[in-house]
Amino acid sequence: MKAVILKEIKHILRDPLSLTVILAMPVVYLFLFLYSITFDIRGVSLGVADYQMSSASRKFIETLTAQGYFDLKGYYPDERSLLRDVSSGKVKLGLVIPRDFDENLSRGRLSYAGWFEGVEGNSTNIARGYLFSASAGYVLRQAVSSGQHVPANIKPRYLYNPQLRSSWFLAPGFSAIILTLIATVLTALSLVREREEGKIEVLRTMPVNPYGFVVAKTIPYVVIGLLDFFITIGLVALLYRVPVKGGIASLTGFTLLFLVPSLGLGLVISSLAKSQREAWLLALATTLLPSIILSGFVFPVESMPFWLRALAEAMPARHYLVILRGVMIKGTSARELWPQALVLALYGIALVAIAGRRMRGWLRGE
Amino acid sequence: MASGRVRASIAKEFSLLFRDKRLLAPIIIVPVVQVVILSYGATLEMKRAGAGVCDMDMTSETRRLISAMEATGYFKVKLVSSPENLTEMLDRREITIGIVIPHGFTSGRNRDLQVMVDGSNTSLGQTALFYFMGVMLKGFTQTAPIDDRVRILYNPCLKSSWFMVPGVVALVLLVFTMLLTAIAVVKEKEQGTLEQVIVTPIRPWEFVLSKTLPFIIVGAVQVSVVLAVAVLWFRIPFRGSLLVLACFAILMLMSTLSLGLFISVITRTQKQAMMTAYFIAPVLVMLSGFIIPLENMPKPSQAIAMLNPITYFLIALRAMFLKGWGFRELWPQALALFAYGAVLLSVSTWLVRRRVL
Repeated sequence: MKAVILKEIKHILRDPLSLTVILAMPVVYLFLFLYSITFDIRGVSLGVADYQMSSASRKFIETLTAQGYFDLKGYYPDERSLLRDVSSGKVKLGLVIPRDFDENLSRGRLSYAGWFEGVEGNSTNIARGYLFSASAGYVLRQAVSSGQHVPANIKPRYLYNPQLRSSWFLAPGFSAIILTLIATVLTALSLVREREEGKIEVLRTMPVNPYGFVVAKTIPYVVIGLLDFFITIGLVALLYRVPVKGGIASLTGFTLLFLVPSLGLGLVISSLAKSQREAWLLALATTLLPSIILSGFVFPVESMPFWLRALAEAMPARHYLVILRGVMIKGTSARELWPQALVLALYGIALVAIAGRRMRGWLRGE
Repeated sequence: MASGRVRASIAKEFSLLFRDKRLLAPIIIVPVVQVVILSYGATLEMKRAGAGVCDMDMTSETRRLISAMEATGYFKVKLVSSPENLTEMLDRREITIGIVIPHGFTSGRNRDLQVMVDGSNTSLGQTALFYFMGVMLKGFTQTAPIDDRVRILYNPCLKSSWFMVPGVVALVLLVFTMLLTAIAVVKEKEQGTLEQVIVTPIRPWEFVLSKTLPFIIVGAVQVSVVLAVAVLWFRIPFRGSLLVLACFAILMLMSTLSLGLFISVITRTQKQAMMTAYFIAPVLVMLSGFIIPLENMPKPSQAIAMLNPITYFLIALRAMFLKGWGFRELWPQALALFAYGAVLLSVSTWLVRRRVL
C-alpha cells in the first residue's frame, strides 16, 4: 500500500505542468469568477417615453433612479423609437408613461406600460422586482401623503447576509464547483492510464489487494484536493471577506468527507472508460454542467421537477454546498449537518467500493 | 499530388476517430444530456418555497392573506406559534421567508409586518420578498393600486433555459472540437507515430486540415443534435435562419480547432493536453456570458470577455434563437469571429510547422 502511494506521488511530481494546472486552477478561477460574476444588479438601463410630462410622472421616474437600481439613458419622443432600442438591447427596460397617468394617480392608481428586453431571465426577473418594489413604495408614499389608509408596512430584514452581498452567496458555490471539477478529473485519468499503458498485466503477477490498491491511489489526491480547498477558502475569506462563521476545523472535516465521493466518482469513470479520451469526456459531462446547474448554486432545486430533484440529490456537490453555505454564512454547527455528512460518507464508500470491484475484475483477467 | 495526400490523411483520421466506437456515444449523448438538464433545471421560477408565518392576530383577514399566499403556488406556508420558531426554521433551511403578523394588524393598531428573509441565497430571497409584497398589495386593497403593463419581450416566461440552451451549442463545440483536435495530435507525439508523418512530404496546412476536418463534422453533428432537441422537444424557439447558424458555427470552429492545435503544441502527453483543456474550458465558458450576460459584469471583465471568441458566438446564438436576427444585425459579431479564427488558425499552423513537424 505504501509503495502504491509513493509511486503515485512520484508520478504526480514527474509531471510539473499538470501539477501547476491543478494548483493554479482555484486561484485563477476564483479571481475571474468571483470578480466577474455578480448578481448585484445595479444600473439597469432605462429608456422612457413620457406622454404625460407632468411633475408627478417625472417624480415617478426619479423614484426609480434614486436608489441606483435604474440608470436613465434618456427620454424618447414616442413608443416606436423606444421599442427599437429595447429590441436591440440598448436599453433593458423601456417604460411608457400613458397620457392619463395623472388622472389615474388622482384615483389612487399608478399606471405605466412598456417592455423588458427579456432574453436573460435572471436579471430581468430581478429588474422586474426592483420596478415593482419602487412602484409599491411610490404608491404607499402617495397614499400616506393624501391621508389614506396604509395597507401594510413591510419591514424586511435579511438574515445571515444583511447587506445582501452576492459574493457571499456565490463564493461557497464557486468553491464547491471548483473542488468538484478538480477532484473528479484528478482520478478520472488514473486507472484508465495504467490500463492503456498495459501496467495492469504487471500488477496481475503480484499479490495486490484491489480495494487497498484503489484506496492507496486515492490518498495522494485527497492531499492535493485539501491543498486546493485551503487555497480556495483562503482567497474567499481574505480577498472577498466572506466569513467562515462555523470555523475552519469543521469545514476541513466536511471537505474530507466530500473529497472521497468526488475522487471516487473519478475512479469509477476511470474504471468504466476504455481510453483516456473517453474518461475525460465522461468526467467533464458528469461534473461541469451538473455541478453548476444541479448543485443549487444559482437555481433553486426546490423548483425543479421531481426526477431532476432526485438527480440533484445524487450529486455530492449539492450536499457539500449546503454544508459550505451553512458553515460559512450561517454559522450552522457541525451537529446540525449530519444528514449531509452521512450522505457524503455513504457515497464515498460506495463509489470507492465499485471502483475496487472493477479493479478486482481486471486483476483476475476478466 | 497534394490532394491525394490530403485525402489519404483525412481518411486515416476518420478511421482513427470511428474505430473507437465508444466515442460516438458521448459525442451524441453528452450534448443531449446537457440540453435536458438545462431545460428542466435552469429555472429561476420560484415554486413551493418554504414560507413560515407566525400569525398573532388570527382574524379572518389574516387567514385570507395566508391562503392567498398558498394560492399563488410560489409558497408552501408553514404556520408556527412563535417568532423564535421562524429563526430556527430559517437556520435549518426549511423556509426561505418568515413573516410575523403582529397583534392588532387587522384593526389597524399595528401595521408593521416583520419579514425575515434568508439572505444566504440572495436571488431566491429577493424573489420571495417581491412575491410576498405582491400578495400583500393585491390582498389588502379592493383595486390593485399598480397597473403594470410592462411586457417581457423574447422570453415572456423568463425561462433561463431559453437563455442558456442556445449557449450549449457553443459549449459542446468548444469542449469536443478543442479537445479531440488536441488529442489527435498529442496521441501521435505520445505514441511516436509523428516521426512517420514527418518523413512524408506532408505540408503543415495539409497536416492541420487532416487533423481538424473530422472534428468539423463532429461539430456539425453536435450542433444539429442540440438544435433538434432544443426546438423539437423543449420548444425553445429558433427564429433565425439555419444557414446563418451554420456560417457562424464554421467561424466558431476556426477558433476552437486552433485552440486545440495550440494545446497540442504546448503539451507532450494526452493527460497534459486534457488537463490544459480542462483548465481552459471553464474560463472560456464563464467569461463569455454563458451564465450571466456581459452587461452585468464589471468593466475590466467585459474587456477580457471581448478577447474571447465564444462571447461573439453566444451573442449571435441568442439573437438568432430568440430575436431571429441574421447577418444584417450580426455582421459585427461575424466579422470579429472571422478575424479571431483567421489569426488563430494562421498562428497555430505556423506553430505546428515550427514545433511539431
